[in-house]
Amino acid sequence: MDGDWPERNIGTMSPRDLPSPVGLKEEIADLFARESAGMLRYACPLAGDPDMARDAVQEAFFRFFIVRSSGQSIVSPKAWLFRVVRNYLFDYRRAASRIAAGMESLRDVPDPSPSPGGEDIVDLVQGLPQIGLSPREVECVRLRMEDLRYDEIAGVLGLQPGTVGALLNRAHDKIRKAVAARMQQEHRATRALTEEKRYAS
Amino acid sequence: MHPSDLRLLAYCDGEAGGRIARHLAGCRRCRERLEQIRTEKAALAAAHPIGPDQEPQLTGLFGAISAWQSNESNGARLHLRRRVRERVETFCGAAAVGTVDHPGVREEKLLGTSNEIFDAFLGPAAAEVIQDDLLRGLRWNLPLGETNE
Repeated sequence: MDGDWPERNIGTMSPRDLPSPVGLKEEIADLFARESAGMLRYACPLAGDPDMARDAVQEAFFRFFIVRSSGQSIVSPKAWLFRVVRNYLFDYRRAASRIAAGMESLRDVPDPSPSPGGEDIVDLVQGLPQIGLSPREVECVRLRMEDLRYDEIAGVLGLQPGTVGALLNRAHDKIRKAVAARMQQEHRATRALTEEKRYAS
Repeated sequence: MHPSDLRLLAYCDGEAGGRIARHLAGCRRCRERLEQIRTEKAALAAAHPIGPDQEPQLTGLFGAISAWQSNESNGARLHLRRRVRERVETFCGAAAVGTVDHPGVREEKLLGTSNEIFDAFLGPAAAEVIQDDLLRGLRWNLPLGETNE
């Protein structure tokens, strides 16, 4: 399967012409208008905190600006930005878990309070893993929902495009089964309710 | 032979074409299967989680960019320069540092030139990783004299 979708570099190419400041600002504004909302949707579940997700999106665009200012061109800006968001948030989470581990060692009783401002977001994130999707499958589905192509998803996650196809297919299969199971459950519950009503009358 | 679900899903995603399209034209069973996959995908898209109410603001980004551009002695600039010099020295030797970094060369330009060197000597994948690493964890509006790490 891996040979079916060509691998594609989503990253930078060597410096060519330095972009004009005005041109670069327009390029960023255009890209921002098209991609920032999708990037934020992708970032929120990963961050578990909307403010952190917004920081990640801004950081990605800022790095985009720095790299483009250096004269490098970016082959697939969208995938490149998503990858920066992902790496940024994974760095943040690693650092946060180190801090949490340090705090844990300092006190005996763990803090039962939930993560800051994250409850709604956590609810949203839980959906896909709850039906048995692996973290990779969840990420593939989310990136595909943001209209990234298989080769772009592969570039973001560091996978082969064929693997992305396989992961999406597996995810789709699990989602289908989960939906079918839920419908069956609802059907049973409705039938039981009807029986109960009939019995009561 | 009928295409697998994997292929039909890829077709649905616009990632597979010709052969499957030809097969679909003559196979009712696969057309129905494709329709089912489309319906399931549409249902999934409808359940797509939405982001928070407040979307990122372009003004904030442009403010950060202007601050970066106007402050030549920004702490992050100095830090970025130091990082680039260190990486060039590590991967290409001390002599290479002098060829990329001169007085008056801006940090953005230094980043581009070093990336070109890493690309040529280590390959594009390694250059990409090094650049990610160079930009990681920099606090872009850091006042001069404050440390980044």
